[in-house]
Amino acid sequence: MTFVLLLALWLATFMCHAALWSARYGLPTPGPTGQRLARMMRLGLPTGGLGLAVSIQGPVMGLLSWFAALSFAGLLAASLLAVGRRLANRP
Amino acid sequence: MRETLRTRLGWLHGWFGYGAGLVLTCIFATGSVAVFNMEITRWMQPELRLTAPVQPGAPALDAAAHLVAAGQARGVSAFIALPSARSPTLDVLHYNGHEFVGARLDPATGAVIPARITAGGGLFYNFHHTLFLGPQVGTIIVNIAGMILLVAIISGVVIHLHALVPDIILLRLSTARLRAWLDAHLLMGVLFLPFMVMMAYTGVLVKADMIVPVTPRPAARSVQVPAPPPAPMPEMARVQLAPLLAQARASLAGQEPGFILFAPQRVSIFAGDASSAFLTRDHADFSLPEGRPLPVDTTATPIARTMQLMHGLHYARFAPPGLRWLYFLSGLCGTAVMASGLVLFVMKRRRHAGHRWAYRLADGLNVTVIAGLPAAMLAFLAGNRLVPASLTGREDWETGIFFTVWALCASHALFNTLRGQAHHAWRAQLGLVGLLGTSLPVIDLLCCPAAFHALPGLHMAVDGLGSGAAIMALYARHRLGRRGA
Repeated sequence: MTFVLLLALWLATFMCHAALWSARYGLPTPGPTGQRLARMMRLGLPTGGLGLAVSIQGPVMGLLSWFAALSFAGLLAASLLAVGRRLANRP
Repeated sequence: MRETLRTRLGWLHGWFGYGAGLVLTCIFATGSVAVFNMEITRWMQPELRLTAPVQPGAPALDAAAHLVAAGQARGVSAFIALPSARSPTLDVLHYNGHEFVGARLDPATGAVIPARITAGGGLFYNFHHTLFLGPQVGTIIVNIAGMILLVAIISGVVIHLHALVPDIILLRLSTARLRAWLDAHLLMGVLFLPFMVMMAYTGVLVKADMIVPVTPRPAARSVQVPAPPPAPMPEMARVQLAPLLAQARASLAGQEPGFILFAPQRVSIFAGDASSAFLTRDHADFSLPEGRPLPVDTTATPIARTMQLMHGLHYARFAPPGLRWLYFLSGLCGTAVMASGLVLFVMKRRRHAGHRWAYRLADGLNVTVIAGLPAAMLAFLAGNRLVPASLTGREDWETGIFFTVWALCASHALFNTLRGQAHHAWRAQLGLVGLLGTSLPVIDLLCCPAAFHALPGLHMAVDGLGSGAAIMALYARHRLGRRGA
C-alpha cells in the first residue's frame, strides 16, 4: 500500500516536471500560478514521500521502495505522455 | 576535429559498454530471475507440496543430523537448512561445485520427501555470479564486468548530463527508429540508475576479495595439494538439536535461526538470511557432544556492519515478496537498458560497417544474448518437466538442456547473421521464445496437475512469467515483420 502511494506521489511529481518543461513534452504552458504550484509540488511531493516511506518501512526498506517508486512512476509517466502525444498527433 | 571529453567518453561508453554489455546482459537477466531462485526450485520439484513452513520437530532434526553424519562418513560436508517462508522443507544440503543440493525432509516427521533431483533456480543464481565457469575464474570475470558497468554508467551520465533532468521522462515513439531506441535506452538508464548503481556497486564489493584478496593467494605454479577429507564427527548423530535450537532462538535476539553447521567439536546455529537487511551471519555455538553453549563474539566493526548491509542489499534475502518483485522488475529493466545499448551500438554502425564480418558477428552475438538466452532459460524450465523424474543425474541433463539450446541458438544466429540474414535469425529465435513460453503452462498443467492444484500461486507466477516472455517476444517479432530488420 505504501508503495502504491509512493508511486502516485512520484507520478504527480513527474507530471509537474513535464508541465514545467512543456515545450519538450508537447504540453500547454501553464500560467505563472500553475508554474509556481508545479515547482512546489515537484519539490514537496518526493520529499514528503521519502519521509513517509522511511517512517513506515524503516530506513533501508523505505529508501529502496522510494527509489523503486521513482523508477516505475517515471516509466509510467513517460509511457502516458508518449501515448498522449501519439494520440494527439493522429490525423 | 577537436576531441572533447564527451566524445571521448562516448567512445568509452560505446565500446566498453558493448564488450561488457554482452556478458552483463546475461548476468542481469539471470540475476533478476535468481531473485526467485528458491521459488523456482520449488516449482521444479513438484513433488514438494508443503504450503506453509512449520517448526521442525525433534524427530525431524534428529533425522537431518543422521543424514549429515552419514554424508560426513562418505566425505561430504553437509549442513541443515531450516524451514522458512520461501522453502518450507527441512533440507540437508551440500555444495556440489556449482550449487547447494541434497535431501528434503518433512519438517514435521523427518521423512525424506522423494522429490526429483533438479538443478533448480540455483542454475540461474550460479550463472549470475560465476557464469558457470567455477567459483574462482567466473567470479573474477563477473566482478570485472561489474566494474566496467560502473565505468559505463559514469561515462553515460557525463555524456547525457546536460539533458539528464529535463529529459528524464522523454520518450518519442513516433520519431526515427534510432532516436526511439536511444530514448528508450536513456529513459530506462536514467530512471533505473539508482538500482543499477546499487547492484553493480554492492555486487563488486561483496566479491571484492576475489580480485583483491586479504591474504595473498598461493603461487599458481605451486604443487596442488588435494583438500583433506572432513574430520570425522562421530558425536554428531547423538546430539539433540531441538533443545539447542530453542536456546539459539533465545540468544539470537529476534533473529530466526536459518542454518545448522557442524564442526568437529562444535555445532553452530546461524541466523537466517531473511532476519534483517544486514546479512549478519550471527550464530550461537554449542560444544559437541555435550551441547554446552560456547562464547560467541557478535560485535561488528563499522566496516563489517557496512559490508553486512552491502551483502543484504545485493542478495535481497530479507526482502518480503513485494520488494522481491520490485527487485525482479527493476532487474529486468536493467537488462533492457543493456540490451537496448547492444542494439543501438549495432544500429549506429549499420550504414558504414554493415557489410563487414565484424559487424555481422556483433549482430549475431546480440541475437544470441537477447533472444537466445531467454529461449535457453525457458527450455531449461520445460526440460524439468520432460526429463524423467527418476533419471540418474537428471540435474546434469537439465543443465545440459540449457547450454545446448543456447549453443544451438548461438550457432543459428551466427550462421544467419554472417550470411547477412540477421532479420531471419531475430524472427526465428523470437518465435522460439514465443513457442517455449506459451507451451510452458501447458506442459506444467499436463505433467504436474496435482502440484498446480496444491500451489496455484507459485505455478501461475512461474508459468505466467514464461507466458509474459512469450508475449513480448511475439510482439517484437510482429514489429520486426512490419518494419523490417
